[in-house]
Amino acid sequence: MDTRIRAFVSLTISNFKMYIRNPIASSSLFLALLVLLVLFKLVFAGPGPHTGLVVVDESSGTAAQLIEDLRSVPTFDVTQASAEAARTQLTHGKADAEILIPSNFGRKDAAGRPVPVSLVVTYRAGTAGESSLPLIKATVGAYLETVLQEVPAISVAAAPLHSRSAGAIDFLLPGIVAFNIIGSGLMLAAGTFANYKSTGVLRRLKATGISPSIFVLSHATSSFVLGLVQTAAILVAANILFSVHLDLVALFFLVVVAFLVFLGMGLAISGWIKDPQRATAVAQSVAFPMIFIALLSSALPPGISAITKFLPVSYVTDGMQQLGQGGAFGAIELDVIALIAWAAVLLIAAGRVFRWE
Amino acid sequence: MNMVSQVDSSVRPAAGLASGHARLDRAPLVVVHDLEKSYGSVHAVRGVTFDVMRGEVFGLLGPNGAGKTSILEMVEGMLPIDGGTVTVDGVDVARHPERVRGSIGISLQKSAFFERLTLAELLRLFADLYGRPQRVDQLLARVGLQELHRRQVKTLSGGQQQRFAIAVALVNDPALLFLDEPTTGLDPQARRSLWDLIDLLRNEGRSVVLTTHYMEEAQHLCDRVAILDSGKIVALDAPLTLVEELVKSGFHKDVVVWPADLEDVYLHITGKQLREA
Repeated sequence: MDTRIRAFVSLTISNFKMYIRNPIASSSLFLALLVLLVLFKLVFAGPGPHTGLVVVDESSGTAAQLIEDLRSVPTFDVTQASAEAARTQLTHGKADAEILIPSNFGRKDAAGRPVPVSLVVTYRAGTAGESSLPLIKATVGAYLETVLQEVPAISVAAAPLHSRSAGAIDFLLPGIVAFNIIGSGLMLAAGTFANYKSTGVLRRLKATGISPSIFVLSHATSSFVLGLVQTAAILVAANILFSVHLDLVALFFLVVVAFLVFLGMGLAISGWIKDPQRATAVAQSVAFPMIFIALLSSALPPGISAITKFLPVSYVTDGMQQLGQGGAFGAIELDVIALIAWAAVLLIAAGRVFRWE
Repeated sequence: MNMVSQVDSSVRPAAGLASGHARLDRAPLVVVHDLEKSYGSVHAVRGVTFDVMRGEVFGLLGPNGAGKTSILEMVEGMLPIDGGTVTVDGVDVARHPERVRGSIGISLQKSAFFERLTLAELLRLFADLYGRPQRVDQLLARVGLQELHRRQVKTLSGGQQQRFAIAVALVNDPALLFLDEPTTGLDPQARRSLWDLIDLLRNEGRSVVLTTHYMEEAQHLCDRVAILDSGKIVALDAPLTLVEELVKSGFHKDVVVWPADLEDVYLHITGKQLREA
């Protein structure tokens, strides 16, 4: 075997052995994300958040049908009480919202038309009571349509762009995957190199006369394979735990190129910055704004997004969002091309700026 | 032994080689001429010239900051050369530093290795990096660590770590080894054990260039020493010749010669056997 290939293979295998023997350093983020998936599953496997509704009915029985409709909403726990008792429950947190049905509810005027009334809803801010307001309004709207035969002049017909339906996991999973590749691609690469530099391991390797490119390539290969195995494990776990509607093959492909980008970034930073401790700090200060941009990409001001849209993290985020909305490989084609270009630039730069010490 | 190429050089006079050690080949393996190194405004190495013969143990002595490690690392190809020339076995170090590093054995002042690999795995890795046959058992036996092949470096004592560093330096079977302060921080037993190992390397015909702060070590091990001060060589000869010249110059000190010293007492009480951690 050629000496360079032999050195590359041996270094790569040694890296894997060290990853396996130091799972805390190499896999803690990955394991934490797996735990997050399991926790997410546990939350959604339960009955879900319920809203405690206490109804004060002053209508003398004309609101019975409406109260039944409210009871039929699965997430509402409906009770009835007097005005005073209802307010006490609400004040002491025994209920999330109170609905006051006035005494003239269901009455009609001389012409036989329903007298306009207002249902007064009082809720505890920041609780399920607040978030249940749209559901209460929708229930009342449905009551008007079915009981009073009032058909609205305008209605909204909504349909998803893509044929697949999407659940919460389809929006959460891309974020988890992105977090893992930024963590293991950028942070682990920069941190490991910084450690090797500060302890003198790289200096000892330099003394063998091997080419820096062999070392960088072997390190990139082992980190890359580790990251992909971890990502594949996250995707498989998500698929087992949830009904994932994402195009997993397209997502995996996006992850492959994204991982190369962040790996190249980590290697370039650790090669470029001479001081090992500073390299770790720089990697962190690059990673966290990227995570910020990824989370708030749609909310950034136009002036800033005009710049950030060319950053690799924007292509990753866009690709993830496309897939989260049910898109297939065709929807992320341009993102993948841009990321391949970024990966090429960063990996070449990493090879050029590498320093043994 | 690994040689870069055969050197065709004129034989230089090696003063004071009659040290009682193995017979030396008169052809120089290392030729250093007018070596210079600066760090910013600090002129660390100033026109240093010396050579190292085949089979010779050559010592670089001097106080901290005298330039020992800078010279050593320039000759090894670990540090860029600012001025002058260095050839190792006929190869220009400035032009082919990686080629030179691949052909010599280096034990750095602070040798560090991948923490989570065993001694045997590290030796196999370094054999692959040098493109040399894997001789794990042989190398570990050479430095007396054969029983510890499954241990990791961080679990070894200081002396064991130094011996392992020399085992790694021998992976590519070099004709020339560089040992930077190999016995600093070691207990007397570990130090004596390393002396024996260096003697063994010399007897195998290898050349060794070492730096040390311990004069008795230099006197015991080195065929010749260069004494450095402020980046310059201020004396270069066999240890006994330097002593003789000093005495001839009229130097005198009142000494009481004891048949033993405190180190002898210490070794007599605690034993000469190397202690394993």
